[in-house]
Amino acid sequence: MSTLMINESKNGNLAGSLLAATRAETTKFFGLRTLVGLYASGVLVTIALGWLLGASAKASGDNGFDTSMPAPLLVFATLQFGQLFFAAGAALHITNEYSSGSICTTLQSVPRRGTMLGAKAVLLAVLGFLAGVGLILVGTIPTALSAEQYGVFELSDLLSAAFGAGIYLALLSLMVLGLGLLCRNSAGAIVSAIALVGGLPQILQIIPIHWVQTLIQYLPTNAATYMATGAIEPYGPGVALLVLIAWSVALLGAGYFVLQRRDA
Amino acid sequence: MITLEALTKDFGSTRAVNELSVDITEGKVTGFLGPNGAGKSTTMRMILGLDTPTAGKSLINGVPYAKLRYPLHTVGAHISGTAGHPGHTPRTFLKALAQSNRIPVRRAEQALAEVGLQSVATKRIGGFSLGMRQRLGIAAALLGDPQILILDEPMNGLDAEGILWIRRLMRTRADAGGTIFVSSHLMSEVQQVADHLILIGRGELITEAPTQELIQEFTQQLITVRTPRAAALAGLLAQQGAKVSTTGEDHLEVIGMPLERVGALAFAGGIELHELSIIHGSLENAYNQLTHDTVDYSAELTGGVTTK
Repeated sequence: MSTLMINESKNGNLAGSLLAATRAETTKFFGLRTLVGLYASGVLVTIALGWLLGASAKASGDNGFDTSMPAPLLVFATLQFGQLFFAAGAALHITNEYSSGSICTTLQSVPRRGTMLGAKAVLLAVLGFLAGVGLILVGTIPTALSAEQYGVFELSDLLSAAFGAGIYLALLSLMVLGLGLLCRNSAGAIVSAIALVGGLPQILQIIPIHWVQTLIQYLPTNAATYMATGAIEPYGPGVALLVLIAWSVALLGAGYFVLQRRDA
Repeated sequence: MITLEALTKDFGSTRAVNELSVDITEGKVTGFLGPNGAGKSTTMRMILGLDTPTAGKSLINGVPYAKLRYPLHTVGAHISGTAGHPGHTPRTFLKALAQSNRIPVRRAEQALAEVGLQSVATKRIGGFSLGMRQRLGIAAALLGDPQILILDEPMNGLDAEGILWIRRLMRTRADAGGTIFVSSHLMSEVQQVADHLILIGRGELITEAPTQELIQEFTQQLITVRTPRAAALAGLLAQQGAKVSTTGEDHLEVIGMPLERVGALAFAGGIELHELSIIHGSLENAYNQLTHDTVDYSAELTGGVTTK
Protein backbone atom coordinates (compact mmCIF):
# COMPACT_ATOMS: atom_id res chain seq x y z
CA MET A 1 0.00 0.00 0.00
CA SER A 2 2.89 2.36 0.62
CA THR A 3 3.24 3.18 -3.07
CA LEU A 4 -0.27 4.59 -3.03
CA MET A 5 0.48 6.98 -0.25
CA ILE A 6 3.80 8.49 -1.21
CA ASN A 7 2.54 11.45 -3.19
CA GLU A 8 0.02 12.29 -0.52
CA SER A 9 2.17 11.96 2.55
CA LYS A 10 2.90 15.67 2.66
CA ASN A 11 -0.67 16.25 3.73
CA GLY A 12 -1.02 15.46 7.41
CA ASN A 13 -4.70 14.72 7.12
CA LEU A 14 -4.36 11.60 5.01
CA ALA A 15 -5.28 9.10 7.71
CA GLY A 16 -8.48 11.02 8.46
CA SER A 17 -9.63 11.18 4.88
CA LEU A 18 -8.69 7.54 4.27
CA LEU A 19 -10.75 6.54 7.29
CA ALA A 20 -13.69 8.65 6.12
CA ALA A 21 -13.49 7.18 2.62
CA THR A 22 -13.23 3.65 4.04
CA ARG A 23 -16.40 4.24 6.07
CA ALA A 24 -18.17 5.31 2.91
CA GLU A 25 -16.94 2.23 1.05
CA THR A 26 -18.16 0.03 3.89
CA THR A 27 -21.61 1.59 3.73
CA LYS A 28 -21.71 1.08 -0.04
CA PHE A 29 -20.55 -2.54 0.24
CA PHE A 30 -23.14 -3.55 2.81
CA GLY A 31 -25.82 -1.61 0.95
CA LEU A 32 -25.63 -4.00 -1.98
CA ARG A 33 -27.32 -7.37 -1.62
CA THR A 34 -25.23 -8.85 -4.44
CA LEU A 35 -21.96 -8.23 -2.65
CA VAL A 36 -23.14 -9.34 0.78
CA GLY A 37 -24.75 -12.36 -0.87
CA LEU A 38 -21.56 -13.35 -2.67
CA TYR A 39 -19.46 -13.18 0.49
CA ALA A 40 -22.07 -15.06 2.51
CA SER A 41 -22.32 -17.72 -0.21
CA GLY A 42 -18.54 -18.04 -0.24
CA VAL A 43 -18.51 -18.74 3.49
CA LEU A 44 -21.45 -21.17 3.37
CA VAL A 45 -20.22 -23.06 0.32
CA THR A 46 -16.76 -23.46 1.84
CA ILE A 47 -18.16 -24.76 5.10
CA ALA A 48 -20.53 -27.17 3.34
CA LEU A 49 -17.79 -28.48 1.04
CA GLY A 50 -15.48 -28.89 4.03
CA TRP A 51 -18.06 -31.09 5.69
CA LEU A 52 -18.41 -33.14 2.46
CA LEU A 53 -14.65 -33.43 2.08
CA GLY A 54 -14.46 -34.63 5.69
CA ALA A 55 -17.10 -37.29 5.01
CA SER A 56 -15.22 -38.32 1.89
CA ALA A 57 -11.94 -38.57 3.82
CA LYS A 58 -13.65 -40.81 6.34
CA ALA A 59 -15.22 -43.01 3.64
CA SER A 60 -11.86 -43.37 1.89
CA GLY A 61 -10.10 -44.03 5.16
CA ASP A 62 -12.63 -46.67 6.16
CA ASN A 63 -11.97 -48.37 2.84
CA GLY A 64 -8.26 -48.45 3.45
CA PHE A 65 -7.15 -45.40 1.47
CA ASP A 66 -5.30 -42.98 3.67
CA THR A 67 -6.61 -39.52 2.77
CA SER A 68 -6.55 -38.18 6.30
CA MET A 69 -5.74 -34.50 6.68
CA PRO A 70 -6.17 -32.11 9.58
CA ALA A 71 -9.77 -30.85 9.44
CA PRO A 72 -8.84 -27.13 9.13
CA LEU A 73 -6.78 -27.96 6.05
CA LEU A 74 -9.68 -29.91 4.57
CA VAL A 75 -11.72 -26.73 4.88
CA PHE A 76 -8.88 -24.72 3.38
CA ALA A 77 -8.74 -27.10 0.41
CA THR A 78 -12.34 -26.26 -0.47
CA LEU A 79 -11.34 -22.61 -0.91
CA GLN A 80 -10.08 -23.71 -4.28
CA PHE A 81 -13.71 -23.34 -5.27
CA GLY A 82 -15.00 -21.02 -2.57
CA GLN A 83 -12.46 -18.30 -3.37
CA LEU A 84 -14.35 -17.58 -6.59
CA PHE A 85 -17.21 -16.03 -4.62
CA PHE A 86 -14.87 -13.63 -2.84
CA ALA A 87 -13.03 -12.84 -6.05
CA ALA A 88 -16.32 -12.05 -7.79
CA GLY A 89 -17.45 -9.89 -4.85
CA ALA A 90 -14.20 -7.93 -4.78
CA ALA A 91 -14.31 -7.44 -8.55
CA LEU A 92 -17.92 -6.23 -8.48
CA HIS A 93 -17.18 -3.75 -5.69
CA ILE A 94 -15.16 -1.72 -8.17
CA THR A 95 -16.63 -2.64 -11.58
CA ASN A 96 -20.16 -1.91 -10.36
CA GLU A 97 -19.10 1.69 -10.00
CA TYR A 98 -18.02 1.89 -13.60
CA SER A 99 -21.07 0.12 -15.02
CA SER A 100 -23.52 2.29 -13.06
CA GLY A 101 -21.63 5.55 -13.51
CA SER A 102 -21.48 6.01 -9.74
CA ILE A 103 -17.68 6.15 -10.01
CA CYS A 104 -18.25 9.82 -10.92
CA THR A 105 -19.96 10.53 -7.61
CA THR A 106 -17.33 8.50 -5.78
CA LEU A 107 -14.46 10.48 -7.32
CA GLN A 108 -16.31 13.76 -6.82
CA SER A 109 -16.49 13.05 -3.12
CA VAL A 110 -12.96 11.61 -2.90
CA PRO A 111 -11.06 13.24 -5.78
CA ARG A 112 -7.67 11.96 -4.67
CA ARG A 113 -7.63 8.70 -6.51
CA GLY A 114 -5.03 7.14 -4.25
CA THR A 115 -7.26 7.76 -1.24
CA MET A 116 -10.30 6.37 -3.08
CA LEU A 117 -8.40 3.21 -4.04
CA GLY A 118 -6.82 2.95 -0.60
CA ALA A 119 -10.27 2.98 0.99
CA LYS A 120 -11.52 0.20 -1.26
CA ALA A 121 -8.34 -1.79 -0.67
CA VAL A 122 -8.58 -1.48 3.12
CA LEU A 123 -12.24 -2.52 3.12
CA LEU A 124 -11.77 -5.52 0.79
CA ALA A 125 -8.61 -6.69 2.57
CA VAL A 126 -10.29 -6.54 5.98
CA LEU A 127 -13.40 -8.32 4.69
CA GLY A 128 -11.28 -10.97 2.96
CA PHE A 129 -9.25 -11.54 6.10
CA LEU A 130 -12.30 -11.83 8.35
CA ALA A 131 -14.04 -14.14 5.89
CA GLY A 132 -10.97 -16.37 5.59
CA VAL A 133 -10.34 -16.65 9.33
CA GLY A 134 -14.05 -17.04 10.07
CA LEU A 135 -14.76 -19.75 7.54
CA ILE A 136 -11.83 -21.89 8.76
CA LEU A 137 -12.74 -21.47 12.44
CA VAL A 138 -16.42 -22.24 11.88
CA GLY A 139 -15.98 -24.78 9.08
CA THR A 140 -13.53 -26.88 11.05
CA ILE A 141 -16.30 -28.01 13.42
CA PRO A 142 -18.58 -29.82 10.92
CA THR A 143 -15.55 -31.03 8.96
CA ALA A 144 -13.90 -32.49 12.07
CA LEU A 145 -17.19 -34.19 12.93
CA SER A 146 -17.65 -35.72 9.49
CA ALA A 147 -14.00 -36.79 9.06
CA GLU A 148 -13.81 -38.27 12.57
CA GLN A 149 -10.37 -39.81 13.17
CA TYR A 150 -9.22 -38.96 9.63
CA GLY A 151 -9.42 -35.25 10.34
CA VAL A 152 -7.60 -35.07 13.66
CA PHE A 153 -5.76 -31.79 14.02
CA GLU A 154 -3.58 -29.75 16.35
CA LEU A 155 -4.16 -26.17 17.39
CA SER A 156 -1.22 -25.17 15.20
CA ASP A 157 -3.00 -26.64 12.15
CA LEU A 158 -6.07 -24.60 12.96
CA LEU A 159 -4.17 -21.34 13.40
CA SER A 160 -2.02 -21.87 10.33
CA ALA A 161 -5.06 -22.64 8.16
CA ALA A 162 -7.10 -19.76 9.59
CA PHE A 163 -4.39 -17.15 9.15
CA GLY A 164 -3.43 -18.65 5.81
CA ALA A 165 -7.00 -18.40 4.53
CA GLY A 166 -7.42 -14.90 5.99
CA ILE A 167 -4.23 -13.52 4.52
CA TYR A 168 -4.84 -15.25 1.20
CA LEU A 169 -8.38 -13.92 0.78
CA ALA A 170 -7.23 -10.43 1.84
CA LEU A 171 -4.43 -10.40 -0.73
CA LEU A 172 -6.58 -12.08 -3.39
CA SER A 173 -9.11 -9.27 -2.95
CA LEU A 174 -6.38 -6.72 -3.64
CA MET A 175 -5.25 -8.61 -6.76
CA VAL A 176 -8.83 -8.70 -8.03
CA LEU A 177 -9.34 -5.01 -7.18
CA GLY A 178 -6.36 -4.33 -9.44
CA LEU A 179 -7.86 -6.49 -12.19
CA GLY A 180 -11.17 -4.65 -11.79
CA LEU A 181 -9.46 -1.31 -12.37
CA LEU A 182 -7.65 -2.69 -15.41
CA CYS A 183 -10.83 -4.13 -16.98
CA ARG A 184 -13.44 -1.72 -15.63
CA ASN A 185 -16.22 -4.13 -16.55
CA SER A 186 -17.58 -6.94 -14.41
CA ALA A 187 -17.34 -9.75 -16.94
CA GLY A 188 -13.73 -8.99 -17.80
CA ALA A 189 -12.66 -8.63 -14.20
CA ILE A 190 -14.36 -11.82 -13.02
CA VAL A 191 -13.14 -13.90 -15.96
CA SER A 192 -9.57 -12.71 -15.49
CA ALA A 193 -9.79 -13.39 -11.75
CA ILE A 194 -11.03 -16.93 -12.42
CA ALA A 195 -8.27 -17.38 -14.97
CA LEU A 196 -5.67 -16.29 -12.43
CA VAL A 197 -6.76 -18.60 -9.61
CA GLY A 198 -8.44 -21.45 -11.50
CA GLY A 199 -7.76 -21.59 -15.21
CA LEU A 200 -4.09 -20.71 -15.35
CA PRO A 201 -2.84 -23.41 -12.93
CA GLN A 202 -4.77 -26.08 -14.82
CA ILE A 203 -3.80 -25.03 -18.33
CA LEU A 204 -0.13 -24.62 -17.42
CA GLN A 205 -0.08 -28.04 -15.78
CA ILE A 206 -0.37 -29.77 -19.13
CA ILE A 207 2.68 -28.00 -20.52
CA PRO A 208 5.60 -30.31 -19.69
CA ILE A 209 8.30 -27.66 -19.73
CA HIS A 210 10.42 -27.34 -16.63
CA TRP A 211 10.21 -23.58 -16.14
CA VAL A 212 6.46 -23.62 -16.72
CA GLN A 213 6.09 -26.21 -13.98
CA THR A 214 8.23 -24.02 -11.72
CA LEU A 215 6.09 -21.01 -12.59
CA ILE A 216 2.97 -22.89 -11.51
CA GLN A 217 4.43 -23.17 -8.03
CA TYR A 218 4.44 -19.39 -7.82
CA LEU A 219 0.83 -18.85 -8.84
CA PRO A 220 -1.31 -17.35 -6.04
CA THR A 221 -3.37 -20.47 -5.27
CA ASN A 222 -0.31 -22.67 -4.85
CA ALA A 223 1.54 -20.08 -2.80
CA ALA A 224 -1.56 -19.86 -0.60
CA THR A 225 -1.55 -23.62 -0.07
CA TYR A 226 2.13 -23.66 0.88
CA MET A 227 1.45 -20.83 3.31
CA ALA A 228 -1.56 -22.42 4.99
CA THR A 229 -0.14 -25.94 5.18
CA GLY A 230 3.23 -24.84 6.47
CA ALA A 231 4.97 -26.49 3.53
CA ILE A 232 8.73 -27.01 3.33
CA GLU A 233 8.97 -27.92 -0.38
CA PRO A 234 9.17 -26.13 -2.80
CA TYR A 235 9.22 -23.19 -0.39
CA GLY A 236 7.98 -22.33 3.07
CA PRO A 237 5.19 -20.11 4.40
CA GLY A 238 7.43 -17.04 4.64
CA VAL A 239 8.36 -17.13 0.97
CA ALA A 240 4.75 -17.99 0.12
CA LEU A 241 3.58 -14.83 1.87
CA LEU A 242 6.11 -12.78 -0.09
CA VAL A 243 4.95 -14.37 -3.35
CA LEU A 244 1.33 -13.43 -2.57
CA ILE A 245 2.33 -9.90 -1.60
CA ALA A 246 4.28 -9.57 -4.84
CA TRP A 247 1.19 -10.59 -6.85
CA SER A 248 -0.96 -8.07 -4.97
CA VAL A 249 1.49 -5.22 -5.38
CA ALA A 250 1.90 -5.96 -9.08
CA LEU A 251 -1.81 -6.16 -9.91
CA LEU A 252 -3.02 -3.42 -7.58
CA GLY A 253 -0.11 -1.24 -8.68
CA ALA A 254 -1.07 -1.72 -12.32
CA GLY A 255 -4.67 -0.88 -11.45
CA TYR A 256 -3.57 2.26 -9.61
CA PHE A 257 -1.41 3.30 -12.56
CA VAL A 258 -4.40 3.05 -14.88
CA LEU A 259 -6.73 4.77 -12.39
CA GLN A 260 -4.41 7.77 -12.17
CA ARG A 261 -4.07 8.17 -15.89
CA ARG A 262 -7.46 7.45 -17.36
CA ASP A 263 -10.53 9.66 -17.28
CA ALA A 264 -13.17 8.45 -14.86
CA MET B 1 -15.66 31.14 -8.19
CA ILE B 2 -14.83 28.72 -10.98
CA THR B 3 -12.03 29.72 -13.33
CA LEU B 4 -11.41 28.09 -16.67
CA GLU B 5 -8.10 28.95 -18.31
CA ALA B 6 -7.76 27.89 -21.94
CA LEU B 7 -9.35 24.60 -20.96
CA THR B 8 -8.90 22.07 -23.76
CA LYS B 9 -9.81 18.43 -24.15
CA ASP B 10 -9.07 16.05 -27.00
CA PHE B 11 -10.62 12.62 -27.36
CA GLY B 12 -8.31 10.96 -29.84
CA SER B 13 -8.28 13.26 -32.84
CA THR B 14 -11.53 15.00 -31.88
CA ARG B 15 -11.28 18.27 -30.00
CA ALA B 16 -14.19 18.28 -27.57
CA VAL B 17 -13.35 21.52 -25.78
CA ASN B 18 -11.12 24.16 -27.32
CA GLU B 19 -9.32 26.76 -25.20
CA LEU B 20 -12.31 27.68 -23.13
CA SER B 21 -11.60 30.60 -20.80
CA VAL B 22 -14.34 31.95 -18.57
CA ASP B 23 -14.93 32.95 -14.96
CA ILE B 24 -18.07 31.75 -13.25
CA THR B 25 -18.61 34.13 -10.40
CA GLU B 26 -20.54 34.11 -7.14
CA GLY B 27 -23.96 35.54 -6.46
CA LYS B 28 -25.20 34.51 -9.88
CA VAL B 29 -26.82 31.73 -11.79
CA THR B 30 -24.64 31.13 -14.82
CA GLY B 31 -26.28 29.22 -17.65
CA PHE B 32 -24.05 27.04 -19.79
CA LEU B 33 -25.69 26.52 -23.14
CA GLY B 34 -24.86 24.60 -26.24
CA PRO B 35 -26.28 21.95 -28.54
CA ASN B 36 -25.78 18.24 -27.84
CA GLY B 37 -22.12 17.36 -28.13
CA ALA B 38 -20.95 20.95 -27.71
CA GLY B 39 -18.65 19.95 -24.84
CA LYS B 40 -20.76 21.04 -21.84
CA SER B 41 -20.53 17.78 -19.93
CA THR B 42 -16.87 17.33 -20.76
CA THR B 43 -16.17 20.82 -19.43
CA MET B 44 -18.06 20.07 -16.22
CA ARG B 45 -16.26 16.74 -15.84
CA MET B 46 -12.93 18.52 -16.14
CA ILE B 47 -13.97 21.07 -13.51
CA LEU B 48 -14.75 18.15 -11.20
CA GLY B 49 -11.44 16.40 -11.87
CA LEU B 50 -13.14 13.42 -13.50
CA ASP B 51 -11.50 14.04 -16.88
CA THR B 52 -7.98 15.39 -17.20
CA PRO B 53 -7.63 18.38 -19.54
CA THR B 54 -5.35 17.98 -22.56
CA ALA B 55 -4.25 21.56 -21.94
CA GLY B 56 -5.24 24.51 -19.81
CA LYS B 57 -6.75 24.26 -16.36
CA SER B 58 -9.82 24.63 -14.25
CA LEU B 59 -9.75 26.03 -10.73
CA ILE B 60 -12.21 26.14 -7.85
CA ASN B 61 -11.52 29.25 -5.78
CA GLY B 62 -8.01 29.16 -7.21
CA VAL B 63 -7.32 25.47 -6.50
CA PRO B 64 -7.66 22.42 -8.75
CA TYR B 65 -10.65 20.30 -7.69
CA ALA B 66 -8.47 17.26 -7.07
CA LYS B 67 -6.63 19.16 -4.34
CA LEU B 68 -9.79 19.52 -2.25
CA ARG B 69 -9.74 16.99 0.56
CA TYR B 70 -13.44 17.11 1.42
CA PRO B 71 -14.81 18.74 -1.72
CA LEU B 72 -18.52 18.31 -0.97
CA HIS B 73 -18.30 21.19 1.53
CA THR B 74 -17.18 23.49 -1.29
CA VAL B 75 -18.69 22.12 -4.49
CA GLY B 76 -21.89 20.19 -4.97
CA ALA B 77 -22.31 18.68 -8.39
CA HIS B 78 -24.67 16.50 -10.30
CA ILE B 79 -23.63 14.96 -13.60
CA SER B 80 -26.63 13.36 -15.30
CA GLY B 81 -27.01 9.63 -14.96
CA THR B 82 -24.46 9.14 -12.22
CA ALA B 83 -26.48 9.33 -9.02
CA GLY B 84 -25.81 6.12 -7.20
CA HIS B 85 -25.82 2.42 -7.93
CA PRO B 86 -29.22 0.94 -8.92
CA GLY B 87 -28.98 -1.56 -6.06
CA HIS B 88 -28.51 1.11 -3.40
CA THR B 89 -31.24 3.02 -1.63
CA PRO B 90 -31.09 6.83 -1.56
CA ARG B 91 -30.38 6.61 2.15
CA THR B 92 -27.33 4.35 1.66
CA PHE B 93 -26.09 6.42 -1.25
CA LEU B 94 -26.28 9.72 0.64
CA LYS B 95 -25.00 8.22 3.88
CA ALA B 96 -21.86 6.96 2.11
CA LEU B 97 -21.33 10.35 0.49
CA ALA B 98 -21.73 12.09 3.84
CA GLN B 99 -19.29 9.74 5.54
CA SER B 100 -16.66 10.22 2.84
CA ASN B 101 -16.62 13.97 3.50
CA ARG B 102 -17.20 13.96 7.25
CA ILE B 103 -20.64 15.46 6.88
CA PRO B 104 -23.03 14.54 9.73
CA VAL B 105 -25.06 11.57 8.54
CA ARG B 106 -28.35 13.27 9.51
CA ARG B 107 -27.73 15.66 6.61
CA ALA B 108 -28.67 12.74 4.34
CA GLU B 109 -32.22 12.78 5.70
CA GLN B 110 -32.41 16.57 5.43
CA ALA B 111 -31.21 16.51 1.84
CA LEU B 112 -33.77 13.84 0.97
CA ALA B 113 -36.47 16.05 2.48
CA GLU B 114 -35.19 19.08 0.55
CA VAL B 115 -35.69 17.28 -2.75
CA GLY B 116 -38.90 15.53 -1.74
CA LEU B 117 -37.66 11.95 -1.72
CA GLN B 118 -38.19 11.04 1.96
CA SER B 119 -40.98 8.65 1.10
CA VAL B 120 -38.70 6.53 -1.09
CA ALA B 121 -35.63 6.73 1.15
CA THR B 122 -35.47 2.94 1.48
CA LYS B 123 -36.47 2.00 -2.07
CA ARG B 124 -33.81 0.93 -4.51
CA ILE B 125 -32.57 3.58 -6.91
CA GLY B 126 -32.85 1.15 -9.84
CA GLY B 127 -36.62 1.55 -9.83
CA PHE B 128 -36.53 5.35 -9.96
CA SER B 129 -37.78 7.48 -12.83
CA LEU B 130 -35.41 9.90 -14.52
CA GLY B 131 -36.96 12.77 -12.57
CA MET B 132 -36.45 10.98 -9.25
CA ARG B 133 -32.85 10.25 -10.12
CA GLN B 134 -32.33 13.91 -10.97
CA ARG B 135 -33.76 14.88 -7.60
CA LEU B 136 -31.47 12.37 -5.90
CA GLY B 137 -28.48 13.77 -7.75
CA ILE B 138 -29.44 17.24 -6.59
CA ALA B 139 -29.81 15.97 -3.02
CA ALA B 140 -26.24 14.67 -3.31
CA ALA B 141 -25.10 18.04 -4.60
CA LEU B 142 -26.77 19.84 -1.68
CA LEU B 143 -25.47 17.41 0.94
CA GLY B 144 -22.44 19.42 2.08
CA ASP B 145 -24.27 22.76 1.81
CA PRO B 146 -21.67 23.95 -0.72
CA GLN B 147 -21.18 27.50 -1.94
CA ILE B 148 -20.71 26.26 -5.52
CA LEU B 149 -23.30 24.16 -7.35
CA ILE B 150 -22.54 22.52 -10.67
CA LEU B 151 -25.59 20.98 -12.30
CA ASP B 152 -25.49 19.19 -15.63
CA GLU B 153 -28.86 19.36 -17.37
CA PRO B 154 -30.74 19.19 -14.05
CA MET B 155 -34.13 19.82 -15.66
CA ASN B 156 -34.02 16.71 -17.85
CA GLY B 157 -36.85 14.45 -16.85
CA LEU B 158 -38.32 16.87 -14.32
CA ASP B 159 -42.00 17.71 -14.46
CA ALA B 160 -43.29 21.30 -14.54
CA GLU B 161 -43.40 21.48 -10.76
CA GLY B 162 -39.89 20.06 -10.58
CA ILE B 163 -38.56 22.64 -13.02
CA LEU B 164 -40.09 25.47 -10.97
CA TRP B 165 -38.59 23.95 -7.85
CA ILE B 166 -35.08 23.69 -9.28
CA ARG B 167 -35.30 27.25 -10.62
CA ARG B 168 -36.29 28.52 -7.20
CA LEU B 169 -33.54 26.53 -5.57
CA MET B 170 -30.89 27.98 -7.90
CA ARG B 171 -32.28 31.50 -7.45
CA THR B 172 -32.30 31.27 -3.66
CA ARG B 173 -28.77 29.95 -3.45
CA ALA B 174 -27.41 32.50 -5.92
CA ASP B 175 -29.10 35.33 -4.01
CA ALA B 176 -27.44 34.03 -0.86
CA GLY B 177 -24.06 34.46 -2.57
CA GLY B 178 -23.72 31.05 -4.15
CA THR B 179 -22.07 30.26 -7.45
CA ILE B 180 -24.49 28.31 -9.61
CA PHE B 181 -23.30 26.80 -12.86
CA VAL B 182 -26.06 25.05 -14.76
CA SER B 183 -25.91 23.50 -18.20
CA SER B 184 -28.71 23.00 -20.65
CA HIS B 185 -29.20 22.53 -24.35
CA LEU B 186 -32.46 24.49 -24.28
CA MET B 187 -32.47 28.26 -23.96
CA SER B 188 -36.01 28.22 -22.63
CA GLU B 189 -34.91 26.17 -19.61
CA VAL B 190 -32.36 28.62 -18.32
CA GLN B 191 -33.34 31.98 -19.83
CA GLN B 192 -35.67 32.77 -16.94
CA VAL B 193 -33.30 31.91 -14.14
CA ALA B 194 -29.80 32.62 -15.44
CA ASP B 195 -28.20 35.98 -14.72
CA HIS B 196 -25.37 35.26 -17.06
CA LEU B 197 -25.12 33.05 -20.11
CA ILE B 198 -22.18 31.22 -21.62
CA LEU B 199 -22.87 29.83 -25.08
CA ILE B 200 -20.63 27.18 -26.59
CA GLY B 201 -20.69 25.21 -29.81
CA ARG B 202 -18.25 22.51 -30.93
CA GLY B 203 -16.24 23.10 -27.78
CA GLU B 204 -15.68 26.77 -28.45
CA LEU B 205 -17.01 29.84 -26.75
CA ILE B 206 -19.62 31.54 -28.96
CA THR B 207 -20.46 34.35 -26.62
CA GLU B 208 -20.89 35.13 -22.95
CA ALA B 209 -22.80 38.03 -21.51
CA PRO B 210 -25.38 38.95 -18.91
CA THR B 211 -28.73 37.47 -19.92
CA GLN B 212 -30.36 40.93 -20.10
CA GLU B 213 -27.72 42.16 -22.49
CA LEU B 214 -28.20 39.18 -24.76
CA ILE B 215 -31.94 39.64 -24.68
CA GLN B 216 -31.68 43.31 -25.64
CA GLU B 217 -29.25 42.53 -28.37
CA PHE B 218 -31.36 39.82 -29.90
CA THR B 219 -34.93 40.87 -29.26
CA GLN B 220 -35.30 43.81 -31.59
CA GLN B 221 -38.70 43.99 -33.15
CA LEU B 222 -38.90 42.87 -36.72
CA ILE B 223 -41.71 44.22 -38.90
CA THR B 224 -42.79 42.37 -41.99
CA VAL B 225 -44.66 44.13 -44.74
CA ARG B 226 -46.37 42.71 -47.85
CA THR B 227 -47.16 45.16 -50.59
CA PRO B 228 -47.33 45.09 -54.40
CA ARG B 229 -45.13 48.22 -54.42
CA ALA B 230 -42.32 46.85 -52.32
CA ALA B 231 -39.51 48.78 -53.98
CA ALA B 232 -41.26 52.12 -53.56
CA LEU B 233 -42.06 51.52 -49.90
CA ALA B 234 -38.53 50.30 -49.22
CA GLY B 235 -37.14 53.55 -50.57
CA LEU B 236 -39.57 55.60 -48.50
CA LEU B 237 -38.77 53.75 -45.26
CA ALA B 238 -35.04 53.86 -45.86
CA GLN B 239 -35.22 57.62 -46.32
CA GLN B 240 -36.75 57.86 -42.85
CA GLY B 241 -33.91 55.87 -41.31
CA ALA B 242 -35.30 52.33 -41.08
CA LYS B 243 -33.22 49.27 -41.94
CA VAL B 244 -35.07 47.54 -44.74
CA SER B 245 -34.38 44.26 -46.44
CA THR B 246 -36.29 42.79 -49.35
CA THR B 247 -37.10 39.20 -48.69
CA GLY B 248 -39.34 38.45 -51.64
CA GLU B 249 -40.99 40.03 -54.62
CA ASP B 250 -43.56 41.80 -52.46
CA HIS B 251 -42.03 41.23 -48.99
CA LEU B 252 -40.04 43.60 -46.82
CA GLU B 253 -38.50 43.23 -43.40
CA VAL B 254 -38.08 46.41 -41.40
CA ILE B 255 -35.99 47.02 -38.29
CA GLY B 256 -35.61 50.17 -36.25
CA MET B 257 -39.01 51.79 -36.77
CA PRO B 258 -42.27 51.42 -34.87
CA LEU B 259 -45.12 49.56 -36.57
CA GLU B 260 -47.41 52.60 -36.52
CA ARG B 261 -44.88 54.76 -38.32
CA VAL B 262 -44.45 52.19 -41.10
CA GLY B 263 -48.23 52.20 -41.57
CA ALA B 264 -48.43 56.00 -41.53
CA LEU B 265 -45.64 56.39 -44.09
CA ALA B 266 -47.27 53.86 -46.42
CA PHE B 267 -50.62 55.65 -46.07
CA ALA B 268 -49.05 59.04 -46.71
CA GLY B 269 -47.25 57.65 -49.78
CA GLY B 270 -50.48 56.11 -51.06
CA ILE B 271 -48.98 52.62 -51.04
CA GLU B 272 -51.39 49.71 -50.73
CA LEU B 273 -50.51 47.21 -47.97
CA HIS B 274 -51.53 43.56 -47.84
CA GLU B 275 -49.84 42.81 -44.58
CA LEU B 276 -48.22 44.72 -41.77
CA SER B 277 -47.13 42.66 -38.81
CA ILE B 278 -44.59 42.50 -36.05
CA ILE B 279 -42.40 39.65 -34.83
CA HIS B 280 -40.88 39.87 -31.39
CA GLY B 281 -37.41 38.42 -31.56
CA SER B 282 -36.68 35.90 -28.87
CA LEU B 283 -33.50 34.83 -27.22
CA GLU B 284 -34.47 31.32 -28.21
CA ASN B 285 -34.34 32.27 -31.89
CA ALA B 286 -31.09 34.09 -31.43
CA TYR B 287 -29.62 31.08 -29.67
CA ASN B 288 -30.79 28.76 -32.40
CA GLN B 289 -29.22 31.02 -35.01
CA LEU B 290 -25.99 31.34 -33.09
CA THR B 291 -25.58 27.67 -32.58
CA HIS B 292 -27.01 26.53 -35.87
CA ASP B 293 -23.66 26.28 -37.58
CA THR B 294 -22.16 24.36 -34.72
CA VAL B 295 -24.71 21.61 -34.38
CA ASP B 296 -22.91 18.32 -34.85
CA TYR B 297 -25.91 16.07 -34.99
CA SER B 298 -28.94 17.39 -36.80
CA ALA B 299 -31.88 15.46 -38.09
CA GLU B 300 -33.12 16.09 -41.59
CA LEU B 301 -36.81 16.81 -41.79
CA THR B 302 -37.23 13.50 -43.57
CA GLY B 303 -36.16 11.80 -40.40
CA GLY B 304 -32.65 10.65 -41.14
CA VAL B 305 -29.86 11.75 -38.88
CA THR B 306 -26.85 13.26 -40.55
CA THR B 307 -23.50 14.01 -39.08
CA LYS B 308 -21.87 17.05 -40.57
